[in-house]
Amino acid sequence: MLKILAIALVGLSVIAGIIGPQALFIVDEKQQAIVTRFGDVRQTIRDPGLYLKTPFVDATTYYDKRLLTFDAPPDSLLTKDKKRLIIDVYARGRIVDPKLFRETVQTESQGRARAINIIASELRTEIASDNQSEIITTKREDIMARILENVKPKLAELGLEMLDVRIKRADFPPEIAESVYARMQAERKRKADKERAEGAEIDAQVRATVDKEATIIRATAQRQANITRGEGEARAVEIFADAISADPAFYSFQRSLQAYKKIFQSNSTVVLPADSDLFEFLQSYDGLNGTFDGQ
Amino acid sequence: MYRPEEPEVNFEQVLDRIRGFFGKFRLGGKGGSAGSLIVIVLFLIALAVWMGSGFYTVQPGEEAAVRRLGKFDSITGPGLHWWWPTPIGARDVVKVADVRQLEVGVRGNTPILNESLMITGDPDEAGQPGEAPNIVDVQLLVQFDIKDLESFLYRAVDPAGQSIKDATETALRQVVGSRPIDDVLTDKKEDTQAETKIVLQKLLDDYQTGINVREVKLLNVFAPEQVKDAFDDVVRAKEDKARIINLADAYKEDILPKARGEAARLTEAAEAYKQERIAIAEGQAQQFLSVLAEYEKAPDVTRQRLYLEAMEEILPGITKYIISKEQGGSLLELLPLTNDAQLPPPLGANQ
Repeated sequence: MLKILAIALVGLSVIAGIIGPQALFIVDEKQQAIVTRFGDVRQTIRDPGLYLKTPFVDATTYYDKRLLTFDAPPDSLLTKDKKRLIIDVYARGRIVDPKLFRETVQTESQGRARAINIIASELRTEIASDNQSEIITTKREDIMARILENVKPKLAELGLEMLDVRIKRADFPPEIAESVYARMQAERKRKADKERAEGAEIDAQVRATVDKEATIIRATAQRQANITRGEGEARAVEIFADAISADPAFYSFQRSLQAYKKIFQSNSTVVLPADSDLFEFLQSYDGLNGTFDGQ
Repeated sequence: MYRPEEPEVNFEQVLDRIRGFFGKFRLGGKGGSAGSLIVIVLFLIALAVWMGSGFYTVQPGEEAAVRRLGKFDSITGPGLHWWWPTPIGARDVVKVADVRQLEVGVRGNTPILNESLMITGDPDEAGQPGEAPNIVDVQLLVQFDIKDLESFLYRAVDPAGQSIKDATETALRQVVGSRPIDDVLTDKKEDTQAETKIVLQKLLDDYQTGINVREVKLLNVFAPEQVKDAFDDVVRAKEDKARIINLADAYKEDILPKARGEAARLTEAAEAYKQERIAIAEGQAQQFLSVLAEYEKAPDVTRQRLYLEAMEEILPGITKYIISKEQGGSLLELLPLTNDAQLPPPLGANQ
């Protein structure tokens, strides 16, 4: 009994070691496989798991089931408006029909190269019908969508399902970059000049407005001051005139006397006629009569 | 087709047999052979070692994805676990919570110009976007972690490497290409980051990478070396403008208050003058009226008196010549009427 068991175990190990790798194979989560017998595709396996094949006769080929990158090398392309752009494009897709894939392109690397060729040629056609500005900005999404639509059927013939085509980079060739830099410089200079000019403009505006306002403030004040002074003088004259109208003759007399006091200073010299009113009594006094020969 | 359950079934059967065998051995059963025993023991040891290698631990912050016979089975969290060892099972332990980084346009401190230089979509004078493109130097940092380990491991090729790098460059260039350079350089960095993040996450989801973008950060945005001076000069020009406007405002703040002060001085002085004039006039008028009131009581006499009083006040201090017609005096005799001329002593001198 023991001997039988030992022999069975050894036998099983030998069979498992020799036949197992030939008859069984595991397809991983990331993979898909086809089983061929002398070149004929016998089985296409897309789900992961453990599978059986005929030992020594069947061969297994594995393909990636994951989303693959098809990275085209950067290419210098001419746009519709005859400008040159270096465009780097890549695509994402997966092998959905390993049988077809194997029949058309055999290996993954060959399939990749074919797919990249198809994408690159589609890209060239598409770029040639777009303006540079569209590729750079707004229509990039549309362009990529159109390329995808166009490459999809062609790549389906290879057993590939294409999900996405992207323009990774769109750059200017060096000689065009130089002219872009020159234009940028000119634009910046214009901008700097504009800023400075605007500064000067605002400066002049503010100062002129300030000067204007200051002048108006002063002039208004001057006007008000003159009016006020005039009012003062008018009022003074009025007050005076009111008072004088009570007896103009007396005012004239009194004011004259005041004026004389100012006019005749101590170093003045006056010549007075002897018959002036002042000396009325100086001459006309008659001491004998004791009378005045006045008015 | 091979069923995964079968090895377990066989295993149970084998165990039963072994138990039975050991029982017989202890009883000293017949037919025992040392060679057979060694084979069986070795087999059992090998089986135990193989089974033991199925234990594994998952640290906090990690997740493990396990496959049985190539097929994804489940995700396990932190702790001690057992899973079928190779070749039946496979496991991938991944630090899902780790924040990974991707730099675009720079590696550490070394700029990578062919990654960082990109076209912006500046409009031309007519406002048509992309007609006057500029070139800008952008360095970007992406931080990401794994949100779906199954996709991360099994659905995309190199998700944390080429896939995210391609997607990041695509997203960044697409966003920058749709904006004018000043948006990216100054005013709208935040918008650019946010939009890039959205586009990038969308691409990564489309590519089934299982990656979650935590943050997209513009590290540095420069004008390219060739045009740096021109850009700096614009910054300087803006500062110059601000400075000039400041000075103009300062001038305004200096001049206007002074003008208002001066205006106040003028009007106040005028008001003072007015009040002064009125006051003086009123005083003088009142003075006149007062005198007049007295005068009217005896006009002739008062008039005479006032006249004489004035004369008294005036004449004493001054030089006087009194010429009498009756004495045939002529004004000519007195000429020249200057102080230093030799004149006959005036009459006043004798008084």
